[in-house]
Parts: sequence; structure tokens; C-alpha cells
Amino acid sequence: MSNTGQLAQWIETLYGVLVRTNFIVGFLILVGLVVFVGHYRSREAKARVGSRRWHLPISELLWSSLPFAILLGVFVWGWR
Amino acid sequence: MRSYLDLTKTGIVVFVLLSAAAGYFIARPSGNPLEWSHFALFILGLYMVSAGSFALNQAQEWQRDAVMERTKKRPLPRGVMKSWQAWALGFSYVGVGSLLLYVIEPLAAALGLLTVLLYNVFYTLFWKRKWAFGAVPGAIPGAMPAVIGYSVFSVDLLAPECLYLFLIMFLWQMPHFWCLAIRYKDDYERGGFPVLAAVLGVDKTLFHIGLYVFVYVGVALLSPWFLKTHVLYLFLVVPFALKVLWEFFLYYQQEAKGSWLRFFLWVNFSLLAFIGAPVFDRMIAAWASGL
Repeated sequence: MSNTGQLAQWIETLYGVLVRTNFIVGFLILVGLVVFVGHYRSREAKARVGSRRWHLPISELLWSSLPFAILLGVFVWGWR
Repeated sequence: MRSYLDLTKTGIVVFVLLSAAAGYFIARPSGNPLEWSHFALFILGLYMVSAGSFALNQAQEWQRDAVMERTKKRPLPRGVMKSWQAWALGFSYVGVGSLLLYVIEPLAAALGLLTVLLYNVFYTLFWKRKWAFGAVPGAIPGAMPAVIGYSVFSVDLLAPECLYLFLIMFLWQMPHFWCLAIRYKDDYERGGFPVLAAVLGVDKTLFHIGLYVFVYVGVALLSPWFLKTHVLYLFLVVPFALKVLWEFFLYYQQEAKGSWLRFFLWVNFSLLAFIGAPVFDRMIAAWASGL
């Protein structure tokens, strides 16, 4: 087999390995996100409050759940 | 010339064209030789649409720009250009640019016009002025150029490769914009924009930046699920992803007081790596398989 052929085969093998190992990567990112949220909540008491207070917490909750939904969607879709 | 470049936000247009070029090259059938005239016409068309859209945006917001430190030196607030000139340039550029895109691919022209509608009408007039989280839906038109590039060769806009480009471009904008919003919080308040940092405070904005940084980096690291990425994934995407996470933690620990520019720049560099790596990986794979 030529050098180029070997390289192509190596690249294909690498891709297969990456696709399989990325399950762990995705899981670690999800865990990291949950740890980050936990850490933020622990220091939330110190959080400064902005100049306007009219913003509804429910809308904040909805907007902040969007990144979770995207990551979870990608993770489930990729796992499938 | 300087006024023209400022009016059309040339720095941002470069990012628009790079992401569109990534979509173009990822969707392009790898066996065919590149037609440079086709590519140049596409880039020219999209340049005119995006530059025109930014000129319209400045015509729409010049009174607010005039009271903000960061934007008061733009051509309209400075008075070196009249607002009707910005309107005329904006509409003519969007019109001619859309025609050029139509010649290349009607779907690309339609998506270009949809992007202008989302950015200049929905985002500029409503979302940005009313919502603290306006940057989130506002990131949709910002992510469209990659999809427009993809649509030149494929109508399957829900293909994994296209979704990846859209998601990366979409997710990148929240850390990018909210970092600026923290830095220029008082300025945005003066301009009457309810940015997240002004409404919820710096701490909560940092928290929301963190959420999007995790997902942005996560999607980039999971890119082999979306498209065939190999060597450059290992040597470019993984290090950049870890670096962005690290820079975010420094930024978060210092409660946005210190290294905002470092974080801001690394987020921007990482975008180039995350959208560039799949394109060049594809070229390497095509070369290696002897095409």
C-alpha cells in the first residue's frame, strides 16, 4: 500500500476512534456544566444586582435552560 | 474610505465572510475543482448584503450611537455622513448583493434576505431594545452566513455539517457579545439598551457567559459527531477548546475585572479554529485519499 493510502486509512481509523471516544467528552462537558452551575449557586449570595429590577426570573430561567437543552440535544442525538 | 469601512463594519463583515466560506467549502462536492469565479461572485454578493445590512443598522441607530462613548465616532454621529446616504447605500448594497446571490443560488439569496429581515427589523428594532436576552435570538441572523454558504451546494440545511456550523456560530456570539456588554455596561445603559449586564448585573452575566462557553466548547469537541474531522481536530480544536475554558475560568474568578480582553480574543480565535478545522481537515482527507 502506498504512503498516501496508509495515511488515508490512518485518518479513517482516527475518525472512528474520535466518534466513539467523544461519548466520554460529551459526558465530561455535561458534568462540567453541572459543576459550574453548582459553583455559581454557592457564590450567588455575593452577586451584585443590576440597576433595573423589572426582569422576570421566570424568563431568566427559560433563557438559561436553552444552553442545557442544546447540549443535551446534541449529546442524545450523537449517542443515538 | 475610513468612514465607509466604519459604516459597513468591515471587521465584523470579515467574520461573516469567513463563516460563509466555511459553509461553502464544507458543502462543495470534494471531487470537483474549485471554480474561483463562482466563489468570488458568492463572496462579493454576501459582502454587499452584509455590508448593506450594517449600514442600515447604523442609519437605524445613529441617535443612540451618538450618546455612547464606544460608538460616537461612527460616521453618522460624527456628521461626516448623512443618514439618507447610509439608507441609500444600505438598500442598494442589499439589493445588488441579493441579485448576485440569486445568480449563484436562489436559496442563498432568500436566506440572505431573511437574515437582513431578522437583523435589521426583529433584532435592531425589537429584541435589542426590549429584551435583556435579546442577544440570544439575535444570534440567529449572526449564524446564518455559514448556512448561506452551505446552501450554495445543498438544500439539506438540516444536514449535520450545516447544523454544526450554525450551532458554533450561534453559541459563539453570547460569550462574545456579553463580554463586551460587561466591559461597556454603562455605555449601553446610556444608549438605552437593556443589555444583560445592566439588567441582571455582572455576576449573573458571567454565569450566563459560562453556560454558553460550556456548550460552545462542548459542540466543538463533539464535532466528529457532525462531520468528518480528523487530524486538525486533535491538533487545533481540542487545544483551543481547553484554552477557551481556561480563559473563561480566569475571567470568572476575577469577576470580569481583569483579563476580559484575553478571554474575548481567545473566544474569537477559537471560532476561526472551530470553523476552519473541518474545512482544512476535509481538504487533507481528500488529498490523502488520492483525489
